[in-house]
Amino acid sequence: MKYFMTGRLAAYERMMQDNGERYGGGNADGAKTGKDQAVQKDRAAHRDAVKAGDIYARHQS
Amino acid sequence: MMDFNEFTEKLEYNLKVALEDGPPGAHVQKQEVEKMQGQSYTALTVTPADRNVGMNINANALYEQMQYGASYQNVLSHALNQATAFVQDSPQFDVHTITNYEQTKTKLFVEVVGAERNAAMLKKLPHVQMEDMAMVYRIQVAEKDGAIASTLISNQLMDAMGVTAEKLYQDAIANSVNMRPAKVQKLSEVLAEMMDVPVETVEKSAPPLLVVTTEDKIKGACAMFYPEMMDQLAKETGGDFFILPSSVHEVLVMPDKGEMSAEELKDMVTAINGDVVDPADVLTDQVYHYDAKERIFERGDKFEARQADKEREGDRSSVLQDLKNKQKDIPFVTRGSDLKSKADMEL
Repeated sequence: MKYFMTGRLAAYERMMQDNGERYGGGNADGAKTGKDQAVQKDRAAHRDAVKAGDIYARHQS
Repeated sequence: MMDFNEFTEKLEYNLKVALEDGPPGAHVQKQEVEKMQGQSYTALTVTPADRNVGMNINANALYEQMQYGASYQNVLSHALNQATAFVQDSPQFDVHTITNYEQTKTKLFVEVVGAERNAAMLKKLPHVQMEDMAMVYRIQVAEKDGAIASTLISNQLMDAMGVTAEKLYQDAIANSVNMRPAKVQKLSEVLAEMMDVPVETVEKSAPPLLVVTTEDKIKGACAMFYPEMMDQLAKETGGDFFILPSSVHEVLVMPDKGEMSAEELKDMVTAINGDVVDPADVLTDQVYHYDAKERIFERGDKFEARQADKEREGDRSSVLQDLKNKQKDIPFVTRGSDLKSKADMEL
């Protein structure tokens, strides 16, 4: 499944944390749920933008 | 189910019947639209009779909807709604003004893409290559509700504008800085904004990365190449740093503290690109490095090769230095005659 900005950044955050504590990566409880919700919100916003962009993408070559 | 060719022919026919005869009338034509990032598609271009700007209806996207179960009638209805709305309210745009460089140069901006995956398109576009990324130029032709419509500058358009590639680069980058200002934020701040929570909630868990993009966060990776940006980032990170090309929209900057190698980071970028990033948004499967002291931006593997060369050079000179120091400790080997004497003695 492909995500947008929140998903990309959250993926990097997770992967850095998986690389141990080299980057101070503890895991904040509760943050995951918030991120998942943000990812969903981001996807919905992107869908709306694409919908709105149907008309205004018309000039693009 | 009909194949793609049958689908586009049927769609073209139905759109023509619906749009070409009715007021105000529109011309419908099937054509191939070339786009960056592997997003080229077959379009049905609808151009109102009294306008010179058309709308491209993406036939590939509509066909995909049918593959996911939509009926042909639904797909046709969607395309007709789009086309009718456009025909009834299409913007006026004088395409000839686009070749007037004095007018268009205030609307220029830059965009960064992966050079390899866009190699075929780049042959037709003026661009500057930075490692395996390419900076291309766009002209904003319309804006509505924060959405920007733009056109890519081709070699042909550059020639028609009578401008050199170098001038285009200078004007486009200078204009981008004002038109699409850079935004540099901590990763924790960006995540907190998106999650709509206080930054303290994510600050402890987020790695100390910076997100570099533009204010609108759309195709903002180019901001890393804005003048003085690399030096500004070096100040913020306290020295050398890696750049992770998270997408064409933003890049991540990570201080180089020597904890992670370029190869490890490259693997991370490749994995996330494959699993999470939309193919239309992928920048490259690489990692880059900025040497703050030498002011060198380069691919991570080149940086590490250069460091290895330096270390080898350093080892060689330290071996030589050690030898010199040892020679100082043995007075009679510092001159040829004394050496001979020592050899004689040992024999």
